[in-house]
Amino acid sequence: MSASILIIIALALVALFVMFSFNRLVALRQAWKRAFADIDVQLKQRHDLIPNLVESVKGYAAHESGVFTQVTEARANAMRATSVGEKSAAEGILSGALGNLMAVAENYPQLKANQNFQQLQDELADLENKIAAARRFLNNAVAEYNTAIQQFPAALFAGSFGFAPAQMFELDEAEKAETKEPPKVTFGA
Amino acid sequence: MPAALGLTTYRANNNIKSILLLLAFPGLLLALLGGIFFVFGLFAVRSPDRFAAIDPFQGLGIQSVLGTGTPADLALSAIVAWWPIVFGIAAVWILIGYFFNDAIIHMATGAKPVSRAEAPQLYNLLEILCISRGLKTPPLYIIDTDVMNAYASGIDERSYAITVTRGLLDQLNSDEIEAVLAHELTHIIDRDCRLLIVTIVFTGMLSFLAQMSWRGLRIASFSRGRSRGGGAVIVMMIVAAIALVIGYVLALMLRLALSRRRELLADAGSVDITKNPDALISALLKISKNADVPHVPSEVRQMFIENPPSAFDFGGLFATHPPIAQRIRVLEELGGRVPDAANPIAAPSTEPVKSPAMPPGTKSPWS
Repeated sequence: MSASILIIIALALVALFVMFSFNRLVALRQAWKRAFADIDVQLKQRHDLIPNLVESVKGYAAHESGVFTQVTEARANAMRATSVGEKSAAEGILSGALGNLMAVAENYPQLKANQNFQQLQDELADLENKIAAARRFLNNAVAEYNTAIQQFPAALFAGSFGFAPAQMFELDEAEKAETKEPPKVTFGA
Repeated sequence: MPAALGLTTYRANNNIKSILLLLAFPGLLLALLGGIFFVFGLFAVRSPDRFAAIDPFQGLGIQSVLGTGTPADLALSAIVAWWPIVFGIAAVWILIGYFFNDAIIHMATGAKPVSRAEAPQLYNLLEILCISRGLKTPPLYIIDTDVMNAYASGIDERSYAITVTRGLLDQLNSDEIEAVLAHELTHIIDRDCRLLIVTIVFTGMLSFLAQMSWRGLRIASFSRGRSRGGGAVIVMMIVAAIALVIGYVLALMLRLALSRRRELLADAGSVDITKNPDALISALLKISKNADVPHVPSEVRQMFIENPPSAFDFGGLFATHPPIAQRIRVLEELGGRVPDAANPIAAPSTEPVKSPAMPPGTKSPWS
């Protein structure tokens, strides 16, 4: 009699605990999905800006066609990407291509003096800052979610409820170099 | 070293404190009422005749209490008779606070809203900070004064706002302004500003009530003092003075409920967002030189990023903010460096706020 009551209470406690954990995981998953949607807004703005930027550089440096196709293709690929992994890879390539475009622009003083170009450049720099900020937020949210689904009691059922680990929006190569990671030191041969 | 953001416990504590204060508020008012009548009763039992004719108490059955009861009976009967009015006042005040807290605070500090078009760089700085925390960008306000200070206000998404002074914008460079904005944003994230608003609205209410009763009695003493017993009026003024003291003691207790740690946490939060402790250190050093906002009521001053202790403060006992030296020490533990003498902090900023929010390329993948 009393043993069965104890068992029922224990089962109820376990059920309650699973319920709370489940809700927490759902909330954390929503958080990073929302963060991903936010970063998408910024990326979309960058995609919208690029044709104007390319056009204004073309006006002064029409013969540098290689870099224009590179940027245009990278943009098209980035716009096609859907998952976090695809996006971070494609956007990384796009950032690299944009870097080349700006490097080309550096060689044309008249272009650099063009007010329209300067404005586009400022807008791009501003968007880059926003993308960097949105990515920081996304990565924080993803890290929190990934930790939560890997921690002990939740880890028992997270997988079976379909909580798969999420992917971070990784730093692209150019930016990695800029974050001044300590250089790797190797000794000897 | 205080951990920076993600302090969900700290935030939860702030929310619980806010709710407890809201719940305790009508009780405090009742206690204040009872206390006044208790003191009044102490005098009244000694000389009942003098008090029998005082108008406000005739409707309470106090006459009989004066004859036979104790001061505690008097206090109790006053509470029993007037609790609906007290609760009504509390409810009205809470509603006013809920809907107009931002307007009240900004009126008290003289802050004016600025639009995105008027201050694009400032909004840009703030927006990037907000994006990195997944927050809606709160509106910005500016106080037109040379003093350097800033505060965050509001109780929910609808009313959150960040205010900076004109002097702060003029004399800090954009990194330092960013650090200050991140500090204020952390107050919003941690719900410090919500707790502060709740306490300010309440302490404001208590001192307002105390002052009103004091003033009311003074007027009463002038209009009536000569015709009726002068002694009773003197006693009532003593009672009002005691109410004033009780009000201020309550206000003080509320103030002590606030943790001075919140500023250190917000400093750490700022560093967590900007990764730039140096900028916050130099901003604090600059601000502390000229941070006094004398036109702002003392209750509201505790919301600012820096509130220099007044001359009457005994060894920081009633200080609302930790000393600047301590804050800088904590920031140094977070990896910050105090600017050296070769790079004088008082020098005019090389990079005023009018310049681009971020020098192009600082965080972009190229250049």
